[in-house]
Amino acid sequence: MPLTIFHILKMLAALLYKHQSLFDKFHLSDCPSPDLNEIQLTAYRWAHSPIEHELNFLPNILYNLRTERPNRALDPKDMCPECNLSFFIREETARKKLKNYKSFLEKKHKIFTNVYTHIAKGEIEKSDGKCTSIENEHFGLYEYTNCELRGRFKLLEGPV
Amino acid sequence: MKKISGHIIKSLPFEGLERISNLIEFEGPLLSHYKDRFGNNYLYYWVDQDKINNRWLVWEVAEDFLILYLSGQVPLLTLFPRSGKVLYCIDIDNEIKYSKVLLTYSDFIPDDYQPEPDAYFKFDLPVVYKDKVDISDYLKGLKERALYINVEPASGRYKRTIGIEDIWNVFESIGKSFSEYVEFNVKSILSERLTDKNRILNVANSLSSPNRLRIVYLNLNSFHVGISADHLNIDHTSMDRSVENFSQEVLAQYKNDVLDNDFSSTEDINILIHKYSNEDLRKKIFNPIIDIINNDNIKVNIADYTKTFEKSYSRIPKIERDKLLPAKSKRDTQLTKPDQELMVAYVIADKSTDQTQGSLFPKDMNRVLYFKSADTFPFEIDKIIQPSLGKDLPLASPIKIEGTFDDGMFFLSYEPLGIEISATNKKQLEERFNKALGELYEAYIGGAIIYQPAFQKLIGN
Repeated sequence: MPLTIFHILKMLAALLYKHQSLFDKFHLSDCPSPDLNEIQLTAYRWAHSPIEHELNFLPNILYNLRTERPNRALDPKDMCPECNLSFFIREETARKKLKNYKSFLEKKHKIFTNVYTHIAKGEIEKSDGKCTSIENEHFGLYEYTNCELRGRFKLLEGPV
Repeated sequence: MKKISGHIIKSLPFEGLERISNLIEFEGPLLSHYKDRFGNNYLYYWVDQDKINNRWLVWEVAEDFLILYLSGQVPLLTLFPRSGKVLYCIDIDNEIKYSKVLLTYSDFIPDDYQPEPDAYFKFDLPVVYKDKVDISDYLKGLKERALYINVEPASGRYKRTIGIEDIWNVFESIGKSFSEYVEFNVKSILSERLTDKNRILNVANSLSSPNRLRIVYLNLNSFHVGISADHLNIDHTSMDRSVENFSQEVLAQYKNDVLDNDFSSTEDINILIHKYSNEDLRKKIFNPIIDIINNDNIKVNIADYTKTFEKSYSRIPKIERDKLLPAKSKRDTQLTKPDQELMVAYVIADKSTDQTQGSLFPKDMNRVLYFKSADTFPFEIDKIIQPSLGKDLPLASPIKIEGTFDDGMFFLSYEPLGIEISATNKKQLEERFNKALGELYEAYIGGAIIYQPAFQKLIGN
């Protein structure tokens, strides 16, 4: 079968994204969406303490794998966002959201929220990957192969 | 995961299920809304997991209740199937494959799988529901400001049923009383701030329309109905801030001023008489309420949303009623229209001796040529009678208007000052017009600038 532009782009993408194996494993052929952008900004992310914690900076799918939990998804559309890293563009929003979840989720749902305790702050560079559009001060980053955020983010004072 | 009794089935029995939106998401959905191809609504509610599967409960939900939940008015538990109702328990693995679908009943669902009683929706509202939730918020606001009227039959003659006419009278009376109360207050507020009489009348009409009262709650176990005042359909463009505030709180004020009175108490009656010194106005506001209370067919109870106000009424003694509404006798007189006719007499006047028009005496009757029925008459006032000042104030420009006569009654309307009166005879007509004019003049010198143009013209300065 001759190589088409589609196949070439797909091979290039495989080299591009850090978690391409996840897209392949879950048959996420249109993930990430082609209309994402590289951005540069200060970002905030929920984190564990200390910042070197092994579960920090993992997409949900890998987080679940490490903690031996099945991915909570109802639709294939739920899987693609599980492969990115979640960030907020303001510290206040990151804190408020985590606090709200901790306060208002039911007990059985809180087993997912009691793990994150802190907010981490750092710079996202264009070379880190492609980002979803910012909605409600939140966006997701699909990391490029060489992206390494550990060491570039610091924990902010006080647990949430 | 916990064992649940039920029947294992091959798949969910829904056609063309499509997700509308995730409602609660934390690293994936926790509560999700779906619709089938027939428009039926379903909730997927995450309850448990092991190393392989996530467990979800799925049940059908009415859209109205879903909107109530999303607007924070009811907890999720209210939407959960009641005893004996079917729901589905499904286990879904890492790759979104259904490993088990169980048809079961809410009675078999463990307590900790059910929504917690205080689990209200306090998360970001998905855009797709915004319009519907806004409407629900409007209704919620009306309900919180509503007055809840409970009407019960006074006797067991017709068991627990209530006559249509009695219910109709309750609504009509509340509507009339509310309308008069609002009109009076709006005019009072605006008369000190505006001079444009038409604008004042427009605002007063907009706010006092009985159509503003909306039914927001109905329970037919007894006749229990919630009535609230709309604020969407009023003319905001011509509104004044003080009136806008009054408009928002109108039912609470109406409750305090009109409904929260002990009409059997002499003390309360005296306060009302002092507060509403204008007998005609008092009659318009309170008579409909007293008619409801004194209807022997029904017992009425009125409460507010939080039940901080809750009042049952008992029949008002005649002595107190007559004291509050002394106009009753006048009213009866007014309503008992006299059997009289207005006639125009054509008289021959002797220019050498008859000095004044209108001074015809019985002895002159032989000078009357013809009589003719009439339905209008001239009316003239050349002074303002001010008993409080002990003197009359002559008018530079006398008031000359044409009155009307209809069905035994005289009617006068003086548009520049908004005076409208009726009477059964000339003396009563003059007394009432003079009284109304005197009261408005006192209001004018007291600072009511609304009357300024009319009085400046009448007095001449």
